[in-house]
Amino acid sequence: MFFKAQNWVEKRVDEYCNKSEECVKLGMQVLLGCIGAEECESWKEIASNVHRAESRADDLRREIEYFIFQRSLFPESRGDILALLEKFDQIPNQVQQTVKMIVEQQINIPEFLRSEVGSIASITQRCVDMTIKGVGMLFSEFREVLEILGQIDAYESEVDKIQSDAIIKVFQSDLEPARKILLRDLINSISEISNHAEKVGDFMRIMIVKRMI
Amino acid sequence: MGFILIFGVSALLGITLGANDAGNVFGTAVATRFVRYRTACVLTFIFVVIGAVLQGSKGIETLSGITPQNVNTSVLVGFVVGIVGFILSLLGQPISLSQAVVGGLIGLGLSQNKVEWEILWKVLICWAFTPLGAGIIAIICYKILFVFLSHLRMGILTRETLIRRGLLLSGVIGAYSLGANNVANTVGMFSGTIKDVSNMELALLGGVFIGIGVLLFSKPVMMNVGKGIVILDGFSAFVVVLSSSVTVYIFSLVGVPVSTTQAVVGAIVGIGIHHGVHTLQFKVIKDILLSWLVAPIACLVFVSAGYAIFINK
Repeated sequence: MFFKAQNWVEKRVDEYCNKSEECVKLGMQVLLGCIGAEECESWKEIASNVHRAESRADDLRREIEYFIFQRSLFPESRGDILALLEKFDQIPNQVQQTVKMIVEQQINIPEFLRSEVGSIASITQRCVDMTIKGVGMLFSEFREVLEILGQIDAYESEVDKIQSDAIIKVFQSDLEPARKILLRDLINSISEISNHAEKVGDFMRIMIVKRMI
Repeated sequence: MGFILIFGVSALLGITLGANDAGNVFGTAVATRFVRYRTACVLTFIFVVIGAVLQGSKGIETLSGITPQNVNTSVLVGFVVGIVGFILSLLGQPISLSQAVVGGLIGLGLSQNKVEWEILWKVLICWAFTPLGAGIIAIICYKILFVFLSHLRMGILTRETLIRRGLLLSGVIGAYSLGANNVANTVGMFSGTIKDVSNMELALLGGVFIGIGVLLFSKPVMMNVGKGIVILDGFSAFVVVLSSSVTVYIFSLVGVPVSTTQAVVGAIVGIGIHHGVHTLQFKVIKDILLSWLVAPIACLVFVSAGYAIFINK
């Protein structure tokens, strides 16, 4: 009975991670696509796919929460799992918010900023991939997640550095003040994704250490 | 009449012991929510009876040897111990019924001027080693099992499932040890006082009464022991139950009824020391130590007084 419930939870968490991964991938596709495009109108369809993936991830998270609470399962881990999913949920949420910002505000990324924004997006993608891998490994070989956490931190620091350089570049440019603020918000919004990934990583570290004492 | 009195006093003692000591078997598991209270009660009931019937006779022989008894004196001891234990249980205090019974028997022995000091010393030495031994076994078990678990490649849920199963298994061993070791406290003083009733039949009776005590009154002490001294995680709870069960079982083989409460408290303190002394709540430990002193002293005094008033008038 215990293993049946365990398998159910593990399977759903895996599905949740897959949906979140899909959401992040589509989000980055919109972002990278918009970098080179004159207008982002054509990315509306993909943006709605991001929204669908995020909603499905939310549904899965609620399903897991309900199952664990309803059947009073895993007294030691349930609080941790629910808190982890809640923290992880900030990642697809942030991706969706960023995509919405790009599409609705039709933000056009200037030529001089494309390389930085592209770097932030691709490193963020790697950072989130690593986080998803870590969450998956919590349910298979939790001690080995510690190795992954270092990489998540490294990616996040890299994003922070590029983010700072990019914002300086924006405010040194001749762009209109309103556009500068829009671009700064966009850069911050993309960078926030890796910040959320880092928070998930920090929480996983506590979960693991608790089980190693 | 004598049998009815013995039956009634055994019921009082057994139920009190069940309310008090059986909580120790699954207390940490229930308090950490790894095992449901109802599951814990049913398992304890079954295995206490099995332990009492299969290995309870040795302890009964030890207790009945401390001082000579007849129906009147054994009923007096049992009645006093039952009342003192029941009142302290209702107050949520984890008393040691073993010590209360021996306190009562010493009171009786001193009043009759007949105490088998050799047996008494053996009992007292075993008592001293119960919390100490459980603490040491807990630290050793913790280290060994921790190394074992550290080498298993598994996820957090598999780890939790393993711990839950370990808690169930160690709880069952604990319930068996409780029956084997502590049934003497409920019926030991009646051994040889009724014709045609063997020690094994007395053990069965005592085991059933302990089980009833578990089913009806064990929850307050269970939660106090499980959470009061130090907050335990699932793995520590498993080690506590396992090490206290092993300790009590060892003393069952020696034939001396010891306090499961003291074994559990010793094991919890052992885990606390392993984690760092700062994790221990010394006020709770002090309260528990005081309640351990109260029961045997009160029983000694009340049995002596009862003997002087009702039997040796």
